[in-house]
Amino acid sequence: MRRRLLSSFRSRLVAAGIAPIILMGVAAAFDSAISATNQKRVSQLFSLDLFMEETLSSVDAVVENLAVYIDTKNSDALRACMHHTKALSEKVGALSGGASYSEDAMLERNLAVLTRRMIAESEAAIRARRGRNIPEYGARYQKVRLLASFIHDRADALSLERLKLNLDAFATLDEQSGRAAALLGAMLASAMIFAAAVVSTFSLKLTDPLDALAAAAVRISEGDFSGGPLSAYGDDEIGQTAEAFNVMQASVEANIEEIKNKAAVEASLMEERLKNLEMEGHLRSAELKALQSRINPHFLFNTLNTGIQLATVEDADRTRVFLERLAGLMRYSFRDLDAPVALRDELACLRDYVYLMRIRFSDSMTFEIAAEPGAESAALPKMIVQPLVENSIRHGFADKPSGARVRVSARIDGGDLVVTIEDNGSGLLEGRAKEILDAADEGRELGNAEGGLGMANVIARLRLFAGRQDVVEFRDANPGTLIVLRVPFKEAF
Amino acid sequence: MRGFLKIALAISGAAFAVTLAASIAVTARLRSDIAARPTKPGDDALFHLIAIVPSSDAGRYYARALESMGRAARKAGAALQPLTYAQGDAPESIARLLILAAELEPDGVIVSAPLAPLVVGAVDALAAAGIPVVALESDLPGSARAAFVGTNPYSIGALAATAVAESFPNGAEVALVLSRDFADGSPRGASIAAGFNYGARDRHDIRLAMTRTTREGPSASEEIVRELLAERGDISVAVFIGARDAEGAARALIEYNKVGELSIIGFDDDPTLLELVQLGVVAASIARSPERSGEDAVLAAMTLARGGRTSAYIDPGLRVIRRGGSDR
Repeated sequence: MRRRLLSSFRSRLVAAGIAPIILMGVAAAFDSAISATNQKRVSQLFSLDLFMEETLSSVDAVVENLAVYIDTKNSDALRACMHHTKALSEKVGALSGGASYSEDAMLERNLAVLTRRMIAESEAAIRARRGRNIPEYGARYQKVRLLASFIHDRADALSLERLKLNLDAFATLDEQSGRAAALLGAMLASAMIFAAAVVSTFSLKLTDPLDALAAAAVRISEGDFSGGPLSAYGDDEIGQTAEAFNVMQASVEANIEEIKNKAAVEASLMEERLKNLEMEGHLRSAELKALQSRINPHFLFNTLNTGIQLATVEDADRTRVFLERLAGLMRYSFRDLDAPVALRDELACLRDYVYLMRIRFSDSMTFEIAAEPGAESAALPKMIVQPLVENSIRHGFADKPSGARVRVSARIDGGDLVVTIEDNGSGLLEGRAKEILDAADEGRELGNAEGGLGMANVIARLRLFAGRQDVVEFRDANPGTLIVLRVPFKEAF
Repeated sequence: MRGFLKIALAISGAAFAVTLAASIAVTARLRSDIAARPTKPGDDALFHLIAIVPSSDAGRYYARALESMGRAARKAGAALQPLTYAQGDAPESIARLLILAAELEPDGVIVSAPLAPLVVGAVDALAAAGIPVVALESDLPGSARAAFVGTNPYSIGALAATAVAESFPNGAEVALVLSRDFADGSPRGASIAAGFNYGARDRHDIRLAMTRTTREGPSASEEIVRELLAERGDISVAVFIGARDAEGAARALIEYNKVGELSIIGFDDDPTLLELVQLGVVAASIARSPERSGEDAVLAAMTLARGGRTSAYIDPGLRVIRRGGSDR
C-alpha cells in the first residue's frame, strides 16, 4: 500500500519547518525580483542621459581636435579627431533613423542625421586641409561648428523630452513600486500568519497525543488501568508510540495481576510459617515447663530402677508396680513434645497417672477410660488429656474427698476425633472457661497453673495441631464439668 | 483553538496566493515596461515635415494650427516636427531654425515667419536643397517658397468693414488698430486698409478715420483706447486686428466704465474674446480658422513632397462672430 504523503511525524515536522522557509523565500525572491526590476528600470531611465553625455563629449572632441588639426596639422589631434569620429559613427548606429510620430524618436533621428552630416563635414574638412584648400576647409570647419551647435540644441531638446517621459515613467514606476511594496508586505504578513498557523497546528497535533500519553502514563503509574487502551492516532510515530503504549499497558496490567497472585500465595505461605513459628513457640514453652520438672531424669530413672529392683528383691509387688507406673509416666512425659502421639499412648500415660492418683488418694476416685475401636490410633499432640484430667482432679475435687468420678472417652465423629473429659466436681467458676480461652488466644498461661502444663497451653497446641480454633468446648455437666476436645482425625504413625 | 487555526490557515493561505499572483502580475508589468521600446513599430512615419512657427501667440492661433497640422500630418502618414521660436525673435534666430531644418533632411517645411532677407535666404537654401517650403499665415514674397496658406489681408479689411456696416447702420468713424504682424505701412497693413475701404465702399457713412499699429509690450491697447476716448471723440468704432489687442481694449473700456462710448470690433475667436462678444462689450470679431490653415498647409506640403503641384495661394477663409452666432 502506498504511504500517504506526510504520514510520518518526522516528515510533518520537516514540512512544518520548511513551509515557512519556502513562503519567506518566495516573498524574498519577489522582493529581490522587484528590486532588480526597479533598479533596471531606473538604470534605463538614465541610460540615455549617459549616452547623450558621451555623444556630446565626442562631438566637442571632434570640433576641438579638428580645430587644432586645421591650425597646426597636429597628428595627435588628427588621430583624436578620427577616434572620436569613429566613436560617433558607432553611437549614431544606436539611434533611431526613420521618421516617427514619437517626438523623442524624431529627436533621435535629428541627432543621427546631424551627427552623420557633421562626421561627413569633418572628414571633408580634413581632406581639404590635406589638399591645402584654405577656403574649403575653412567653410567646412564652420559647418562642423554649426552642426555641433545644432547637435547640442537637439540633444538638449531630446533630454528635455526624455525628462518629461522619464518623469511620467518614474511616476508610473513609483506607483508600481509602491503597489509592489504593499503587495510584498501583505504577502509577508500572510506568509507569517500562515507559517505560524502551520507550526501551531503541527504543535497541537504533536502535543495532544503526547498529553494523552502522559496522562495515561500517570494514571497507570497510580495503578489505574480503567482508562483502557489509547485511541488510534494514525500510522505516524505518535500512533506507533500509542500502539506500543497500549501493548505496554496490557503487559504491565498482566504483570501486576501476576504479582498480586504471587503476593497472595506468599502471604498464605507467610501465614503458614507464622503459624508454625507460633506452634514452635508453644512447644518451646511446653518444653521449658517440662524441663523445669525434669530434675536430672537419668538420676531419677536410675533411682526408680533401683527402687524397682529393691521392691522385687523384697517381694514388695505393689511398690514395684507403683514405681514401674511412675517410671512409665515420667518416661512418657520426657518424650519429645514436637512429635504427635497415638491416642492409645496418651491414654496409657493417663492410666499410669490414674493409677498413681488412686494410690495417692486411695480408691475414693473413680476413673473410667473408654475409647472406641479405631479412635486409639488417632494422632494427637502429647500431654493433652493428662493435664486436663489433672486439672479436674486438682480443682474439681478439692472440696470433694469422696465420690469423685472422672470419665474419659474417645470416639470418631464425622472425620473428627472427639475426646471428652467429664467429672462430677465443683464445676468451673462463672467466666473461667472464657478466661482460659482468652489466655489461649493471647498465647499466655493463667497464673494458677501450679506446675505441669496449663490448660491454655494445651488448647493452644491443640489449635495449632488441628489448624482451627474450635478445638475445645467447656460444658456444665451439673454437677461437674464436661470438656469436649475435637480435632481432625489423623492416623498416627 | 483548532477551529481558529483552521480559519487562520485558510485565510492566510488564500491571502498569500492572491498577493503572490498580484506580485507576479506587477513584476511582469514592470518587466514588460522595461522590455518595451521607447518607440513602437506603429510609430514609424513615411514622411517627415517640419513646422517653424511662433511658440505662443494671442488667441493661440499657432498652437491650434500646430495641433491641426499634427492631426493632418498623421492622417497623411507624415510625422510633424515643430521648431518654434518666440514672437519678437530676431530674423537671425528664425533663419537659424530654417538652416537647421535644411540639415535635418525633412520632406517638407511649413514656416510662419516675418518677411526678412535672412529668412528669405534660408527659405531659398531649403528650396535649393529640394525641400518644399510652405509659408503659413505670413507670406514670404520674393522667396522660393512653394505655396502660401493664410488669410488674405485684403479680405480681413473687407470683412471688418462689412461687420462695422452691419453693426452700426447709422454709420461710424472707424479707427483701424493693427498688431505688429499687420503693421501699418507694411504690405499686409496696407492690404487690410485697402480691403476695409473696399468693403465700406457702398456705405459713405462709414469712414476709416485713422490707422494705428500697437507698440510691443503691455498696456499698448489701453493706451490707444485712452487716446481715442480722450482725443478722438469722433471715432465711434475701433477695429483691432489682433486678438490680444482687442481683448485689452475691451478690458480697458470696462475699467473706465466707457462701454458703449467706443465700440470694438475684435479679431479671432479666443474664448475670452468670445465671452466679451456675448457680453456686448465687443461688437463683433473677425475670426480666422487656424485649424483649417494648419490642415491646408500640411496638405500643400505633402502634395509638394510627393512631387505634385499645388496652388501658390491658399486662403482658408474668415468669419464674423457676433453676439448669438457667426457667419463667414
